[in-house]
Amino acid sequence: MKVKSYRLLGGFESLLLLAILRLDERAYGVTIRQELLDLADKDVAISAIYTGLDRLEQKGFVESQLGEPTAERGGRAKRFYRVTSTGLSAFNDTQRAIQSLLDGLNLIQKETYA
Amino acid sequence: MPESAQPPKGAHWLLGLFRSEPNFPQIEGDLSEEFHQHLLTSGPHIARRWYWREVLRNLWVFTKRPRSIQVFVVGALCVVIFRFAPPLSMSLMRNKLSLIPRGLLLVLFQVAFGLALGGLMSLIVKGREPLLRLTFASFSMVWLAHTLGYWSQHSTMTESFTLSLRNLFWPGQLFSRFFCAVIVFWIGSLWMEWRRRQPAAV
Repeated sequence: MKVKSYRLLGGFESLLLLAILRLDERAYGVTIRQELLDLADKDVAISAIYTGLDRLEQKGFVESQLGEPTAERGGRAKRFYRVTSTGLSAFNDTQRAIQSLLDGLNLIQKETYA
Repeated sequence: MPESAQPPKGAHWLLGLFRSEPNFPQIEGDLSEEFHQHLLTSGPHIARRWYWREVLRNLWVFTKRPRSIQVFVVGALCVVIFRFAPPLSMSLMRNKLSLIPRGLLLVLFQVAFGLALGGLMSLIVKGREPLLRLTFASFSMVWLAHTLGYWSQHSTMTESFTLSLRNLFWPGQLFSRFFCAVIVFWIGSLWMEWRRRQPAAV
């Protein structure tokens, strides 16, 4: 099945999308960063996360909404993210593309050679 | 609130140099929130160390963005223009301004160029003026260090030990020209930033 190339996500974009899906309504900068650290062992600077999220938002794969400011955050509001249906389709397309490329490859045997 | 319960001021100031970056309020808020979480779980020393580490990491990310690279290039270009343009303009116009002493003429041209450059470049990098001023000062220091190093390597024994006024005061002149260049550029930039922040007339 042919996959539209503009829908394919990069590695980091896929991780961001998955983190947002796992967090559901609690997905904002701090929680996304914590999710990536806890589950993917990936310690990413917060500004790099927002760079990735901006890219996803420009492509229409996620959408954001400002929350209420809090004193703990110095009066700054949180920006909550959620995955759109376009984003979900793009993620599924990416997984199908990866699976298509993996078919027929015996990666376990290649590790033995290394 | 005690100072140890707040993010370190130095790190906070450094972060503020990139205030015009997209999502900056959220980034600042997230760092503040995590700082307070670390404060509760690990204490003030570890929280402050964590905050410094994260600010430096985020600064590294900001500096790699095209918007920041543009500011660094503009700042470096300003140093080059400021170094060569005033003497060049002066030599072109010296005949028409022959009544003014050479030294005073050079100072006038440098002040005019510094103010104009600071203002014009601040107009270009709108919102990133603090970073531009810091970049200009840093590159000017690099130029100063390079010039001093070149001078110390290429001056002869005679020039080094002679008691001529030029050799005694030349490093001093260089330092004063460096500081004047930075101050004049900053004045031009600050003025343009102040103008930009004024509410538009109704």
